[in-house]
Amino acid sequence: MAAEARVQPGSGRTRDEPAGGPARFVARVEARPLAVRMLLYALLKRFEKHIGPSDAGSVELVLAEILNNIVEHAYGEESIGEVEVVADMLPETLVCNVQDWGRSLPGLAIPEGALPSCGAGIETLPEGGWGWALIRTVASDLDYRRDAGCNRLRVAIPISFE
Amino acid sequence: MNLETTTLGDALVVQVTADRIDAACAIQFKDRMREIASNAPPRVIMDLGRVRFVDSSGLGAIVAVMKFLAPSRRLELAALTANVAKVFHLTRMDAVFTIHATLPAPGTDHGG
Repeated sequence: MAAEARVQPGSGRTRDEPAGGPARFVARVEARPLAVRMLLYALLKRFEKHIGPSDAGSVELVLAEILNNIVEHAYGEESIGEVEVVADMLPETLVCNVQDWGRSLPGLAIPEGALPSCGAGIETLPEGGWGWALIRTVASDLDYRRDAGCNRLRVAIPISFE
Repeated sequence: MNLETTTLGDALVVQVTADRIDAACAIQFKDRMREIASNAPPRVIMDLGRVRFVDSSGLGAIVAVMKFLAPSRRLELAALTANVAKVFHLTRMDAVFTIHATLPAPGTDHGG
């Protein structure tokens, strides 16, 4: 695909993409766990020629955590809606724009994402709460906006091509 | 959620034959493990060699399994694939579990 040929090692931020634009993935699905899984399969398939197995793991993890949060918290059990993912393969970075129309993030801000405490023994171990820590650790850039009832999260995931 | 059990020395080995433990199957995974755990010996080894993806819901489910096996039974993990090992490392859950690089040979000790 054209995007591979345009990769320039060491190149900085991309501004205007050449004609044809970057390899792009677009999907809009109902925000449910199985639909999230199918979207992730389709996205990884779309970029399989651009992303190695380790980077694919990072991309799948970050997007799974973002999308699971939308399913569980933006919509929750009492409401259902859609989520849209637009992902562009830029040099050394996969930039994903994720939109949903559910509840906003608390305080209109991306959570700090501190790791939950491991507790004092097996019975107090956490069974969740790692999502934002994983997203923040793996992603290189995150931006959130609430815009007329729409949550817009932009996340950049570094791609090493290894 | 496909789980296959075999006996290895004093341990019960549970092989997860799905390629992922994620938000879509975490509850089913816990339910199946609860059935298996009801008559498990004190040592249970979960073989994750075929699992190529675990998200935080899947990780939470694995922790939940360790919690409901305790205190009389202990959960160990084996054969984590690279991306799954990364999730355990980033969440520091690799310090909580006994993790074997490969499925232990019969008769080996409990490995820490």
